[in-house]
Amino acid sequence: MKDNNKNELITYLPDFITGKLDDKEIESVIREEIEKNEFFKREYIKIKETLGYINSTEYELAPPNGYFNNLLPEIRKRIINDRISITDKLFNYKRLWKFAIPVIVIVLIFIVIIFSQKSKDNLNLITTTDTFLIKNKMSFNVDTNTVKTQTSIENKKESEKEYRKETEKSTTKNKYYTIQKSRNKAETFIHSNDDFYNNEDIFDEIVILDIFNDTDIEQEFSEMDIQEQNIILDNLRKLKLN
Amino acid sequence: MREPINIETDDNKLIDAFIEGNENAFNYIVLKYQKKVYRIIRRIVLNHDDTNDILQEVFIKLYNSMSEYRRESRLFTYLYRIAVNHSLNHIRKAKKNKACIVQINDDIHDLSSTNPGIEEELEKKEKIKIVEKALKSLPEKQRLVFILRFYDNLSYEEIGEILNISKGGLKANYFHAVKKIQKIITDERQ
Repeated sequence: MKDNNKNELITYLPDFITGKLDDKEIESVIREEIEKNEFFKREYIKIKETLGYINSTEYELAPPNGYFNNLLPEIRKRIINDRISITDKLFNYKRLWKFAIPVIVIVLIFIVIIFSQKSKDNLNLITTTDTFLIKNKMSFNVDTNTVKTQTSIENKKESEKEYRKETEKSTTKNKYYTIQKSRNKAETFIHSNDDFYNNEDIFDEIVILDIFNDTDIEQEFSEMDIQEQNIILDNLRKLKLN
Repeated sequence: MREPINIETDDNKLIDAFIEGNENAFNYIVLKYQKKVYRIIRRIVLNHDDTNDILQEVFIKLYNSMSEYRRESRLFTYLYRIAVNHSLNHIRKAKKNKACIVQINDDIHDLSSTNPGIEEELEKKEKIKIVEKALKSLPEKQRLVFILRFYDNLSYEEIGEILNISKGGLKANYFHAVKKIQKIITDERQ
């Protein structure tokens, strides 16, 4: 037999010794080797001693007396406890949700109310500034170019200006009272700026602009004299609304 | 009419009965395999208390996963696989090897107190200590192969299934485990 085969044959020794070798042919070859091969015989004896030694300790792995009588009831008990604990957890979650859902709903309602209130209040005052900032596409960081542009417009329509101004101012006065409610709300937002609050003219101007349509506002603004325009712009700057 | 079941009933029939709602089927499975599964766990984790915990967990896991069991392998192979995995996880987590030795020695002490012949008991105690040391010195794979082959008489095919590895080389693994144990035993006895 070749060396490779002999080495492999040795690996069968533990199974041969413990009677777990199914292959009868290999079994007979091992028997032959044990008889005629000293090295193989020595290996066989050593492994047999080792396995015998291990085997002599096996009984110690037995559990305490009566252990298996109680095992099944213990397992059943744990299964029931697990079920209960799962149910408890679900119940606790339910309880949590019972309180959490109303709290979340209330908080959300509050947030919605506060935001809607704010946006309503802001609308009256901010639309005036938005009118300038967005719709007329003018920045309140007005520079000299803006002023120059408006001056040129003013020069062109100087003759019409006096008439229109008078007409619009009288219209404004009438409309001013109809928007008094909006003004009051706006006041609550501008109370921190006393200059603005006390300046009725400026306030009037803003409100006037608010009630005109876009074209009117643009036209109105452009038709104002430069001094008036600057007053409005300066005051808006003071408000830091830009 | 349903066929009555008992501990001798085929595993697949017990599983079917359990899935159909017969809780007794699970009881029979436990009674049928409790000793075998206990031994395999005990040899891996080495002390009774941990074995008891793991054994219960194994059967609870079986109880909860019985409907998912695909019957690709035999029930006891499936059970052994759960037991081996739980035991290895336990060892990896707890790293209680030293504590295990103490526990084993305590168990042996309990046994010796009930038996006559103190010298004989001391000798047994010493033997176990050496074997446990030898088993612990083995790489995880060799150790499991040795336990499943030597103590549980499983075929290499079954061992491969349980450990989820190919059976090629398992015989060599077993032989090398035996040789390492032999060396430790020889060294310890000198």
